[in-house]
Amino acid sequence: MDDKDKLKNQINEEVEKRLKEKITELESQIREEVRQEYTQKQEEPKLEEPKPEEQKLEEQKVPVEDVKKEEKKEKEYFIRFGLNFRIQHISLMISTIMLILTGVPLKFPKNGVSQFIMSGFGGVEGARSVHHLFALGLILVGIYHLFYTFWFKEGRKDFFEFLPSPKDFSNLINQIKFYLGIRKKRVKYGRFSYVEKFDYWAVYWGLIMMIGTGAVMWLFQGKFEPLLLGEISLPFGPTIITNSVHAIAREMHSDEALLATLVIIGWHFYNVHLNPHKFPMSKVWLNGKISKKEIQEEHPLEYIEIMRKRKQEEEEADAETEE
Amino acid sequence: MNGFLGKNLPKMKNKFSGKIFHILSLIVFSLLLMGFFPRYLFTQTQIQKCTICHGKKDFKVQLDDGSVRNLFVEEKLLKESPHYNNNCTDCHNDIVEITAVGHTKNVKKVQCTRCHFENNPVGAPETQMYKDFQESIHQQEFLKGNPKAPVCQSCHGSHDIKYRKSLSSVELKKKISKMCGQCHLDIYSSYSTSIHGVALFDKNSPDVPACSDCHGEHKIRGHEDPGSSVFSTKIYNTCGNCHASASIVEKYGIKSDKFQTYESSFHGIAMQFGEKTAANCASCHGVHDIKSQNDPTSSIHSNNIVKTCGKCHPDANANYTKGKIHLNPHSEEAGSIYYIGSFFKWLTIITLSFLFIHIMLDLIRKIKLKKAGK
Repeated sequence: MDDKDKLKNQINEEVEKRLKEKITELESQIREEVRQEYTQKQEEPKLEEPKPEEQKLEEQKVPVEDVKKEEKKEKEYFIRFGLNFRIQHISLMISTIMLILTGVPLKFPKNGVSQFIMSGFGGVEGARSVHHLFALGLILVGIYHLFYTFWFKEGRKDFFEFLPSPKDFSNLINQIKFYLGIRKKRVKYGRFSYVEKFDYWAVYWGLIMMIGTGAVMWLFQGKFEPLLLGEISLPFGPTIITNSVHAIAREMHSDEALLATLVIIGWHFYNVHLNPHKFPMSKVWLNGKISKKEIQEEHPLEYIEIMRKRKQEEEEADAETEE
Repeated sequence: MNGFLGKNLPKMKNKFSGKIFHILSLIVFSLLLMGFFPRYLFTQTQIQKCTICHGKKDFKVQLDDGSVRNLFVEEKLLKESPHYNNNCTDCHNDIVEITAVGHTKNVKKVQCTRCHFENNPVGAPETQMYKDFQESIHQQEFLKGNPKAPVCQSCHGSHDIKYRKSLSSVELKKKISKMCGQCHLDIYSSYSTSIHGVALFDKNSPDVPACSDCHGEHKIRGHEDPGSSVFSTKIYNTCGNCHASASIVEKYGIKSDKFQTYESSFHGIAMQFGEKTAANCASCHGVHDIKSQNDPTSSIHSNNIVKTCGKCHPDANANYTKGKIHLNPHSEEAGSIYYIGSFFKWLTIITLSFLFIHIMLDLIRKIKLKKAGK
């Protein structure tokens, strides 16, 4: 009997030991998961604003020793926009702001703010010379972007990513469902969401309209006076543009300008500045970086794609070293 | 006084008392009469005294420069004027004595402001016009010593002054034009052949502007004075007084949107930003010689318009003027522009509505998630 009891005890001990092992394993797994989730949460406030105190306390509670080590690894950034693209955006931004400042007041001549801005540019003549200067800048940015799209690998890749697809439409519907609370899960986007695609093609449309109609008016006027310092006659002169064509171009230019201004102030400012997740400003246009947390949340499919590629590369590298 | 005299009469008991009474009563009566109508009596006597000479139709004097000045004053005109109550020296106050050879030769110009000022005691119409006139170019020239500069009586007349109401609007406008034309002869001749002048003199239209409708009455300023109603940045408003009013211009077949279409044109916008060199109404249509576009001598006739644009735009050619100038993009007559404008209007409204809804949905969802998270 003693032997039997001993054996039983031994078996029980063995079982308990194994169970404990299993439990600790599971526990560490859970801890790992919790920690991963937690560190993701931590990254956002670090980027933008000091952490709220609550989260600091929670951080102390986490009983995992090597959190800090792991955290450093995970505080990872991805390059969303290359330097080339960022310079294009900044040039576009400066040109657009100056064009709006020197152009839109003409639509509201009785407004005091318009009068103030116009007097700042030295009246309509001065404002026109500045407008033409930055129009030239806008044209150059447009031409360079076409060149960039064809010439650079980065540009070609992004161009195809920007092409609209039927999935964007279903994404829009799903996103609205999510907004209304019908859908619980977030919509998963690739490199560019339908919002960004809309912005991109809106700029395309805007540039074509504004440059096209602006060029017609410019040719009608026939002169380029950079900052009123000199005068350069444009080719063709007023000989080819009739007054009625000029009037049509003017109407389109004026209307499209107002539309573009309103979209920039209302839509683009919300998306990159006023949106609670971005306030006061998304810095991606300056450093081109996007945090892991942001990319996982806003562009999960792109994140997966990047990770898959990395793994593939690593495996390839491993295979090479093994050989 | 009569009672007092009457009481004492029986006490006198003089044989001349009756005669004295008659003479005294006559004197008293005439004094009374003069007491009630003194001005009338004095005026009568004064005017009678002056008209000894000035009532003669051939009363003339040769001035130092050899010209002859007619000094005849028709009494009837003065009697019909608002000044029928005044006597000669009320205005010609520098004539104090009249001798056998007449009065001093250096009679000054009459100063109307002796009576016509605010709160004057003599009951002359109270007016601010004399203050307005102080700022006018005519007064400025007068003060500089320009002998041709007009004063009040140059326009209003002197002895033959009339009430404004005594003339109909058309007659008044004709009279004003001719009045100004006495000195501004060139302008008068170009005005009288312009569309406004022809309408006034030949068609008796009461709405057309005479000189004073654009230039002002008392506060006429030079066209280079920024305060002038015909200054380059203000003239379009002055023209707009009539040409923006449907009730005035549309009965003559002229559209009342010309003012508004100018204001929204490049020229009009530049003008509103204070660009003095931008074209105003007069730059294209002319100043006093404004004519219909169907008139071959008009600056905006299709044969002349390229030349007119060329005044400012030396490169202007025929293409420059092809198409409507005063274009109203909000009327269907504008054709394609009207439809382009509507297209963009709706594109803007729809796009912005969608974007606004999207932003609102996003915001509401984020607020809800935040609340639920806490």
